[in-house]
Amino acid sequence: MLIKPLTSTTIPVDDPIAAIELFMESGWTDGLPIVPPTPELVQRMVGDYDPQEFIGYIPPKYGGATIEKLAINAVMAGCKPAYLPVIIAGVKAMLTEIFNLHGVQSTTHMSTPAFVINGPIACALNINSKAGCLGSGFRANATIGRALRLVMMNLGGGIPGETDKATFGHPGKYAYLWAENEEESPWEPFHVERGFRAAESTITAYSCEPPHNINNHAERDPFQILYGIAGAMKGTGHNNFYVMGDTMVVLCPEHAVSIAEHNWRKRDVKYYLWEKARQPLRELKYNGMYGAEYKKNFWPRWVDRDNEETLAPIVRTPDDILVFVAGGKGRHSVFIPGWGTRAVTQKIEV
Amino acid sequence: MAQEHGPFIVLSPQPEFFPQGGVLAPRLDTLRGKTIAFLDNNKLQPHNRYFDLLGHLLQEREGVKAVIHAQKPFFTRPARDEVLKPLMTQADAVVTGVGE
Repeated sequence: MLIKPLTSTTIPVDDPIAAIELFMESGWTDGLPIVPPTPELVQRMVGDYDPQEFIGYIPPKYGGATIEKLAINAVMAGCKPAYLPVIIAGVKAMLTEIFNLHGVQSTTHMSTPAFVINGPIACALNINSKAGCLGSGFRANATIGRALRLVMMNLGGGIPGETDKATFGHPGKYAYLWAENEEESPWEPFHVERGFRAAESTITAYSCEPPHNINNHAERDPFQILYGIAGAMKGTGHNNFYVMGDTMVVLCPEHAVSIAEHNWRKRDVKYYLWEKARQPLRELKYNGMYGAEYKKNFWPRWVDRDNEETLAPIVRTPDDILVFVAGGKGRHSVFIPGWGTRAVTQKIEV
Repeated sequence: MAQEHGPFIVLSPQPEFFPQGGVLAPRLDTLRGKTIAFLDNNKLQPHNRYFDLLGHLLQEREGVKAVIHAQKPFFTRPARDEVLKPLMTQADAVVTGVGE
């Protein structure tokens, strides 16, 4: 087929090391060295795509994202060409209105988009869903996640301390991507729950804090396991109790299997957590944005704001608790508080 | 691709185009007699009177005719047309920002 030309501005430098230093000095990296995006590497990354295909404008800078620009940032991150469809879908997910990337990129909150992969592409690309999947050491997880961060910085202008106003940020801003451990999950995969076919692949974008570990080696009973998880979710200070939106629990396979052995479905897990992860208004009024004006918080109407003993739920409905299964052996699950918006699941076109 | 010769060529990761209309509005010559709007993200505590004080200062010192204080529905939600359209018709300039 006819190869369409690249049109990005070319930059001559002395050698690859000079390119790395130039990108560092220009603020075009996440603080780590990049792979210099030569025309040859970018063309290889673009492959059969039209490099000028327009994907969208990335807020808050609203730089135009074409396949070529995504490919440049993917090369910089160390991606293989086979990863590009995941990056394209991840960007599309972030650009939906309900995701509110403008707010995510510019808030003082620490949140950053996390990405969860479902479907056969996770295995095909070796996206880790098992031991250490939220940590370091896996090329696909690290470089696809990093590419999406570089897109947010270079095309979206999410520069820390400038338009990215995060008071702290968190380590997930380098890369925050894993796959669901569908193989060891006792339930239907997350994307099937959302109406996709099991044979399709998806990426779910979710703006959130870092994961909070929940250690439970003692219990096999669903009530006891989930009671401990609800206890972690009840911690005050995270956004969900005030802003609602979506929240996320990632169960390790051992916890999930123990729960499922008692014939609990994923829906039962959500309902139980929604019932138990609650706080009386008297505990919540000292946190969040409003202090004494705490009645402005986004609680459902059925929460009686005139009674401080009323229990407010962590999110509006059980379905707003996103439940995944991931991780390796061991009895540790995680709770990942949200920023207060919706997770978006996008099909990966391959 | 523009051909610039160097020993080693890389491509810019920066955007090369932006939305049409995504430019700053024309600057006002003067604030005197103008209507100025503030669009805040509805995150500040209600006793924070920053915008009230700023509006008073603009009226006293700069002769601003009127100040409009508009709010997003919530800081995690985008401002919709019902918030933005009145500002477009009523204000000579709108001040907004990111973060807080």
